Amino acid sequence: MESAPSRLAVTTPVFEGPLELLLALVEREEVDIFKVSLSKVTDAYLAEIAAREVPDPQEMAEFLWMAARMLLLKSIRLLPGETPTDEETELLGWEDEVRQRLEEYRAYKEIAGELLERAQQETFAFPPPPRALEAGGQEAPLDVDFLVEAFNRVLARIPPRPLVVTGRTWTLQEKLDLITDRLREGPIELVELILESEDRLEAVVTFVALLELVRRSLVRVKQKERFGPIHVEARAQPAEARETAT
Amino acid sequence: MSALSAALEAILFSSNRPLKVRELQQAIDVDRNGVEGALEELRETLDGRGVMLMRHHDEVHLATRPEYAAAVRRALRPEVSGRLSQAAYETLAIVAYQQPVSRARVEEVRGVNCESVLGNLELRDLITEVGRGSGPGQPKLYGTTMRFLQVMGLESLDHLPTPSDGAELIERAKNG
Repeated sequence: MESAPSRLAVTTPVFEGPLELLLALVEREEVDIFKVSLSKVTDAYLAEIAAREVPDPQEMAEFLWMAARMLLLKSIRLLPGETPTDEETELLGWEDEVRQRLEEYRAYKEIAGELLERAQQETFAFPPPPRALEAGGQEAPLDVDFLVEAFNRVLARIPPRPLVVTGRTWTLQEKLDLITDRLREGPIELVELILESEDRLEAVVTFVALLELVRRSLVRVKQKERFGPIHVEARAQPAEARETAT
Repeated sequence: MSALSAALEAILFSSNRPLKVRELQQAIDVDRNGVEGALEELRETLDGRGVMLMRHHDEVHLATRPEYAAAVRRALRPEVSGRLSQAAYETLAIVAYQQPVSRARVEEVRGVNCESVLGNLELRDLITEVGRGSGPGQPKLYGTTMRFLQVMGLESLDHLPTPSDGAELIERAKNG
């Protein structure tokens, strides 16, 4: 299955920051976080960051900053017996601080794991559904104004095109095909679809493609309750509809 | 069950949204303690039933018990929203335990920029702005939402999972 890479669902084993990488290395050593000497994992840390592909400079700077301090720490440990200078004393204090941060981060990672497990077991607690007590709640057809409003809300979350243009440009037809393909696997949530965009231009093309599909009556847009998620689904009329689309 | 509790059950059953304790107070015309007592009675009565009383800070709502989520799903096929990333769960965990919490604090714990992941969680209505910090720039403070409890199938924030150790650490962070 080929779908556009989502900026929001990073599932690659890439470590998100120095702290996460450090935690992974320390845990690999299977030692108590409060006893581990950071100098022990320095080499592994350097190897990991050297192996990173196409490093983002800003992100890399954070990794390197940590690396520099670890190297300095290691050099202090290699020369025992000398009275530590002020800078070295500060660095030893820093090691303690890092240990504490690691411990805290580890605790939250564990809770995150349990939340993830809960979510995977789909232990959802369903609230009462919208019902006809009053005129609230609606099924399709949905006013296009709602779509535009939802789109504008999401657009603000997508970064403007970066200065270095490495992204691709999308044509309307490409997006039309992509969305049509994706819809064959089931309904998509509007916000999710737009958030997959790399930049605002792509978000706009996605949205225009969606409006085009609505115009051609190839998709239906549904919102079960006011302010609820807006879902896009294919209309059931397969063969003939495909012809008009292409 | 007392008439008061039964009235609350009826109100919550027919409400599309979580209700504040104050709203219930006005609806059944009793004081705060009266409502809290009746809510507690309702919560106990619902023990062992298919629905439960869900509480998030000052808001209450009824929801199906997470144990029966699969059955509800099979019967009604509700639409599911997209999966969250590992980063999102980590951020949610920090917000849940440390609320109200600023972005700076979340980033301190995770050691990375969390702007986009917080924005995404806010967009999904799993967290929300609950106030402003007193520090420079009056940073936005985040807290969880009723929807967070629903998605995680938690009766209240007291039912959050606790870490095997490091609980103390989190407890400390919570109090200061």
